[in-house]
Amino acid sequence: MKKFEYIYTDGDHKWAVIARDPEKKSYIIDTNEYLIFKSDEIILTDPGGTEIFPTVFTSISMEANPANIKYLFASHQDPDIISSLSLWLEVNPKLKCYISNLWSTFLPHFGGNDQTLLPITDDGMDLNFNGLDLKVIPAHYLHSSGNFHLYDPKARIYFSGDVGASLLPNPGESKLFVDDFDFVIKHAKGFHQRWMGSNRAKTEWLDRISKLKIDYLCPQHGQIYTGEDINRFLNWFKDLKVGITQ
Amino acid sequence: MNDVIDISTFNTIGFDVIIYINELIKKIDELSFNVRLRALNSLISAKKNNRNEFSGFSAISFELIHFSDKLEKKAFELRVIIHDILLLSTNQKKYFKKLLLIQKPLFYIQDMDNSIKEKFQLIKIMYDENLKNFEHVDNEVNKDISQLTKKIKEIFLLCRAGKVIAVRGKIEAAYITENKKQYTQLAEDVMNFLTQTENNINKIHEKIGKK
Repeated sequence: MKKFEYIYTDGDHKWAVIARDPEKKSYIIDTNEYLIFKSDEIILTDPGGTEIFPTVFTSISMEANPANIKYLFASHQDPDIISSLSLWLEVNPKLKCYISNLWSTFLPHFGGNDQTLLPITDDGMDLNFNGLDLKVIPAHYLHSSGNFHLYDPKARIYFSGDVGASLLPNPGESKLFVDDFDFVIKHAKGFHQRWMGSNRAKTEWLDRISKLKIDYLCPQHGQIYTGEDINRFLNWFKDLKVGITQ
Repeated sequence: MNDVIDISTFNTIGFDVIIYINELIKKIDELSFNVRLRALNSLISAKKNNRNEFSGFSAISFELIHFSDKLEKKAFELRVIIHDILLLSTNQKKYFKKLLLIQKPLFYIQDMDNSIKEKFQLIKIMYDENLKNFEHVDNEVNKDISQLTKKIKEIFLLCRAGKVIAVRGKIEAAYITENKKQYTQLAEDVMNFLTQTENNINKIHEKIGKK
């Protein structure tokens, strides 16, 4: 079973992560799902694939009411991110999904229709969620060609999708937060070199987020970066040549 | 090739029902915790006053604490069952979706030549595998729902017993001269919590009946 853990609480404004399932099948990539709570409503980021829907749904249900999930935020179009769309739409047929407009005619292959999707244009946007101001930050070609991250300036939490991802051995048993940076980065290197398609896009992204105050860098795979490890990761990423096969 | 069953007519437990029952069970959990708190408060208050008129209320408070142990244990068992139902029923929906997709081409070829059917053998294998999974999970869900029905009946009976203790608490509170209202209120709070629990139990029972 995936575990549900709050990583930020301030009254009715909270962030939680669903992660670390020791029973996950080894042939499915491990993922983190994040929930943003404001008042009674929830945004669920990168909700996951069909295969893990039962464990994500159950984990959320134990701590919150899944009927309160009003929005999905899909960083991009991959199956491990959003193939469970049709199942989530059964939970709440009025659910809306934020996604790059590049994928707005692709996502309905997973479920939903043109009314389900809230397409985001390339420049990103400001997203007001029950009075909470979130920023949708462009991160194209890292790795998907239509790709966005989500930043909460108040909580100083940055959801970074595949950027920062590490593919750890025994992911179901690993800790939630980075406590051995060198170990984590060893398992992040191959992924970033192969998957991140453009050094130019990487540089532009780094420049974009250098202006942001971040306390938690939350990737979709692997451990969450906090404190000094955030700058360590950003500096490491800056020096890494990407877009190469081994 | 065996006949393909049209699964679109199959029933699976709706998300709205699962979520509704789960939310009610969370409330029962909370209420059972509140009963324990009240029981502890009443015991502490009664023990502070080392006079004869409080001895009856103290005894009732002890009974209430033992009762709240049982109630919390039952509430926990309920949470374990609903957790299982959540996991199983969502797995069931996953297989159901796969089956709906897979069965379409199989229906088209059902009345065709064997030589054509043979080409679709792999899809039929996938269909049979998912159908087996679906039926297995369906059985497990039904078993869990029977367990749930049994447990909620047990909690209902427990609430009745708890209310009897609470009524006796009110009677004992009548003999207390100092801060009588406080002790009466403690007993009434327990009565209210147990009534709310009974109401939630009835709502769950109704929803399960409609499944």
